[in-house]
Amino acid sequence: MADNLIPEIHDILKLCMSYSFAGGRAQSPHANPYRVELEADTLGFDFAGNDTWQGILRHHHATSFKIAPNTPDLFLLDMADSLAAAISRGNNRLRLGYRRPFIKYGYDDRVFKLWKHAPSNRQRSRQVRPLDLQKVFEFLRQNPTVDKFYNLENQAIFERAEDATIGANLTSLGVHSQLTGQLYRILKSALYGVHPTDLGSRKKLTTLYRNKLEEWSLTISKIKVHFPQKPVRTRDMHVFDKLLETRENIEAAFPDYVLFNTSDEIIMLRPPNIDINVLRSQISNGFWLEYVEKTHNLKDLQPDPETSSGPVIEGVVVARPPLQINTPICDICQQAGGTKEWVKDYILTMNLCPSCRQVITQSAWPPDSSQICPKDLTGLEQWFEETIHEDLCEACFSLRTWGDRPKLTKLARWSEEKETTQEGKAGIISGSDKNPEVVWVKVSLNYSLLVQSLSILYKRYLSDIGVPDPAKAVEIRFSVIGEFYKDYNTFLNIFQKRLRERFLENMEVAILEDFFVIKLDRLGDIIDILERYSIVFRDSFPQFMHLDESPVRIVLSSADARFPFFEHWEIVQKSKSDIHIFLIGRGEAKMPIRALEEVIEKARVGGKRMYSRALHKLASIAGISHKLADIMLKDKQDKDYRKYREILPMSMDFQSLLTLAKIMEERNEI
Amino acid sequence: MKFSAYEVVSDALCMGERVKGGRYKPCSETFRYSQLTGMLKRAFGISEVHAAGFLKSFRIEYLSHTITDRSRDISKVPLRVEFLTDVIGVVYISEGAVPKDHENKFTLRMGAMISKGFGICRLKKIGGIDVEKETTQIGFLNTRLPVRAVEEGELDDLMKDGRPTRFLLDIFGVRRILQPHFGYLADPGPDYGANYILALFEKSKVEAPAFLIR
Repeated sequence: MADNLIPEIHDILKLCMSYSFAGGRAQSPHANPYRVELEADTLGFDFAGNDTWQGILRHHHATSFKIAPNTPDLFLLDMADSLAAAISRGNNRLRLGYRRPFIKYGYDDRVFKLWKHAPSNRQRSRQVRPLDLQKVFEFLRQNPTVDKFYNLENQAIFERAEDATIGANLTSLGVHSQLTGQLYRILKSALYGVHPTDLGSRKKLTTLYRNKLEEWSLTISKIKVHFPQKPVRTRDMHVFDKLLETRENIEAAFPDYVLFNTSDEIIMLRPPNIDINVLRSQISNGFWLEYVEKTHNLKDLQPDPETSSGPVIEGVVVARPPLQINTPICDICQQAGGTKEWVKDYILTMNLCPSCRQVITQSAWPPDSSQICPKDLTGLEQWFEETIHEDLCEACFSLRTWGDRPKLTKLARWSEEKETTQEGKAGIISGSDKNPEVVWVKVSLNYSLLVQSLSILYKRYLSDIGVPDPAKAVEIRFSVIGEFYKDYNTFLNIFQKRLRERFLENMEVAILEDFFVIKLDRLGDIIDILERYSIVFRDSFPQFMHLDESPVRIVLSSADARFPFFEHWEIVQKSKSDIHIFLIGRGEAKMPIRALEEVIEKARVGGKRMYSRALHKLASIAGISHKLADIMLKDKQDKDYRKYREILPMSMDFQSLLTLAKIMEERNEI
Repeated sequence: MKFSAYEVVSDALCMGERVKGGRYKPCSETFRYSQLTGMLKRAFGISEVHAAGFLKSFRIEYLSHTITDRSRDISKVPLRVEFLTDVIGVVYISEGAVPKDHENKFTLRMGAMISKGFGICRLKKIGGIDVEKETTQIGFLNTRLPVRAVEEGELDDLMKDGRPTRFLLDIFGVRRILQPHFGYLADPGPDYGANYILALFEKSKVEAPAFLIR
């Protein structure tokens, strides 16, 4: 076993079934660490001088545990463990209304996921305790790593609730352990510590603990990664590889500070003495970080800097920009001088013979091909057709030439091909001048709304189990959010898989884990995307369907394949509803997630066709006049009036309804 | 600084940005300081003017436009141009800059494709403001303003503490820059060797008079 303390392993005894110490009645090993220590001695296990073993036994200062932290590191572990718990420890347990709430409410070892489980269907008394004490001792003797610990008994640690008390069983032991490890190292890097002589009597320890909660502080930051590039063509889409790399660089440089992230947002917790500008060394190519942060003492630590009380600090982390740029300016980012000429400077990076190099350097692009030697001409001919001149800065030039080959080959192909249309009943295939239609799909997570949503759902849960004052007891802590992010990532993977199964070759490789592009055979394919989203969403976050707003959102932006990519990117950033569909130049539709199933039902093949007919009629009239369609919608004499009244309560406005009608029209439902 | 407020109405406006990828010309969705002051200087032959403005409503449309390279007698790759129609906006022009005989109402041409009939803007005076008397609020900038960091350390102060440059404070009453979103505005010199100068773009979070806040 390693000599250094591995904080993640501190709660291993929670995976242990009850044990009859010295032949007495079966008791929880985790609640009786002093008995565990004796038992190890009795069974001949020698863990003397082992820090992790001490961490397992001594990470609580409550009197019921009999033994307590007796070194500065164990004091920090106790603190980290508390901060990473699902609900506040110590006297705060009274918030569930009772000093010993597990007696009042019972226990359940399985995690109650606020976004997934309905309080009315909650279960109790299930156990996830796959180890016995002997196995724990054997395991600890093998010098385990953190990964080995997580993989114990088929990762049972991610099934077992950190706190099995009903009402507190909100997060898994796995997520709690990861977070405890991070918090322990954050506290250490903040140089927070106590003197060994301060760790005397239990009373002294409790007072010290309480004082340090008030005295020590941490800074919580919400950081969004931005880039200045405005890519139009697929060859500039490496900006997303760079986005990913930037995020990974930050994670690699500060693995403990980064608590959660999505594709372009990072939630970071760090010591207040570490300035946010320390991140500047991790960004390049004109990328910049926008942040909102707040410093709290540990007692009042809140997960969302924007909604907790007190002043927030806002700012950006950006390289110092030049005051002036001499012409030309970079065409892609407009943040630096365009010192590189595309395509000429790119060609000059290739291995050319001296004579050809000189010809290309000295002439305007394209050079006279008769002056290029046959050997070099073979590789250059395709480039001579490139007549678009672009001025690029060093950063955008390096992004464009990053990697060996274009990443989005399908998208590049779609933007060059012309649409094939099927006309008439005879099925005559003919070409058209239009490029095929594509839809960009972006799933996003609103962090502040997530914290609010979890609070609402937690209040419902507490109310259902009979907590006297649920509003007062509600608090959403990092561990619950961590548990959610785990499920959110699984949700993204499954959604992507479902889309790939449906669209096969019509789906490009994922640009980010939450950002995809799909070629549409018809606009109505958007309904298929929504249908898959709806199913996966219901499986993953059914409780969000009962909220006014969902923190998980989807935006779809559709246009022909040549439509500039960065305009889609701007659009998908503007999500204003649970589901937001943009048909560029043709309208937009917004709807709440709770209405989605009904919308799909009304649009489904073989479904209630009367609705699609009514919508089609409305769309046709709106094609002549929006006003006229609006009047028709309110005209009680219209024979479809009743159908409109049934469609409208789906929480959609008139504009959304018309956009939906356009989508359905191309689905050949009418 | 005192400004006169004008309502701007235009049927079609193309305040073009740099062409992207050789095939797309996006359109700015707000007025730019450089564009407004350049237009006013040309129209009225004045040398000293400050202006800011924003769009209240518009529709986005697109057209394909093929530019001919006359020197080589070839047509270039078609360019997709973004433009705005049914535009209504508000522009603030430093008091005294517009000649008296045009003070209440005038027409100007602004932006790209003027020869194709775009850019006719009708301006009608609707009031005025005194920046020094305006109350400030925190929000996102609705226009693009040059930073004009002239004095030593002004840019560093802006980046470190959010302190505005003298230009931003004195002319537009910007008190604090919480989250700058930097960009560059063309700054045509007398010899037309246009340089670009550092500016705050419309996503910047600032504390400023309400007329500058989205």
